[in-house]
Amino acid sequence: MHVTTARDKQKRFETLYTDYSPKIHRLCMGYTGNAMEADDLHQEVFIKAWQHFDQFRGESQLSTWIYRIAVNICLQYVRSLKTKKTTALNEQALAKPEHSENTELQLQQLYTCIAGLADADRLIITLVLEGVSYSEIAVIADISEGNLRVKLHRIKQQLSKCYSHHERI
Amino acid sequence: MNEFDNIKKLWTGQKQQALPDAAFIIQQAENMKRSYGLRIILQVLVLLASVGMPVWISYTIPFKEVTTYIGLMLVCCVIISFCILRLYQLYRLTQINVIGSPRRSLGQLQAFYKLQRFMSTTCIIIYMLLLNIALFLYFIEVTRNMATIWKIVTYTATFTWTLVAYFVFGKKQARKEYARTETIIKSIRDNEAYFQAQNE
Repeated sequence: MHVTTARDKQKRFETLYTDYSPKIHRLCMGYTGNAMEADDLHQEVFIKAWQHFDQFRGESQLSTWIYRIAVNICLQYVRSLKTKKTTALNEQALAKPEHSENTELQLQQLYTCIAGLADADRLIITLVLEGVSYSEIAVIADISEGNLRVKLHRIKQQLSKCYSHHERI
Repeated sequence: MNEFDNIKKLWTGQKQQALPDAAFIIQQAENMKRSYGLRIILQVLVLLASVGMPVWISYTIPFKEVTTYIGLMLVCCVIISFCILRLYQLYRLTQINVIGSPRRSLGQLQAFYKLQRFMSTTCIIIYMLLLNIALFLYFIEVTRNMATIWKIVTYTATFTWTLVAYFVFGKKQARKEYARTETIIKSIRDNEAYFQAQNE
């Protein structure tokens, strides 16, 4: 894809934003478990995307490109948390009940379980939950598809176990 | 994996929060770009101001010794060189983009870390050495008519200050900068190792 004019660039970016904005926001929620921080990360992802939009040459899918930006920014966020030695993710405030009480509670449990995973596992599972194909996730995470499948089996088990454990409580 | 299907359903069924529109994001990005440009301009202005002082002194005071002018010129050159290097360091930092693969980012970070260490070891020593030589040359004429005790006070105060700036403030700042980069590098390496472990 070659961005020729400023207007063309803006139009393409708007399409990208409309298509991926909710998905990226959910991905950020998976990392932060906190709506306000997810808002900030989501904004940062698209700001970076706009700043580097001219560099996208269509060597990969546009979705791969935007997800990679999102994943890198989310990982950076996790790293900065470690640097600042702030509270662990799963101890962060998760409360923002807007959905129905029960669904909201389930979502909070899910975020807590995701936050309990290793950084790299969190990366993979949030993309899987978003319905991104395995081949695309492998490209985003820079690993082989076989490796991904092996890991995924374990992550799914870990997440399901944690979630069902929380549900029982 | 029935439980996982439930999780997936829950995940995709999340109520979508109100998000800003694309125009707002573009506006934010443009504002950031402008503020980055302003930061560079500010740094250049600080640089010009720092250099302006010795230049102003050399023009307004008719010094007799050539060593004084050499000293003042050397101060200017040292400050300009160091500021250019710091600006280059800032530029390199902005070049580490998040759109590449983690491996590529790691390579860029490692190169930046190397530059960071070079700046705060070799460059800073050369900077302090040249600055002290420049100040010494400048003080030859300035302190000529001073009593010995005041000469000692002037030299001691100046050189103590440069040593404190180097060993206390400089080292502390460098440690902080290293720690930040090291944490990011370690984190990327850990992730890489984590993925690699599954391959073996």
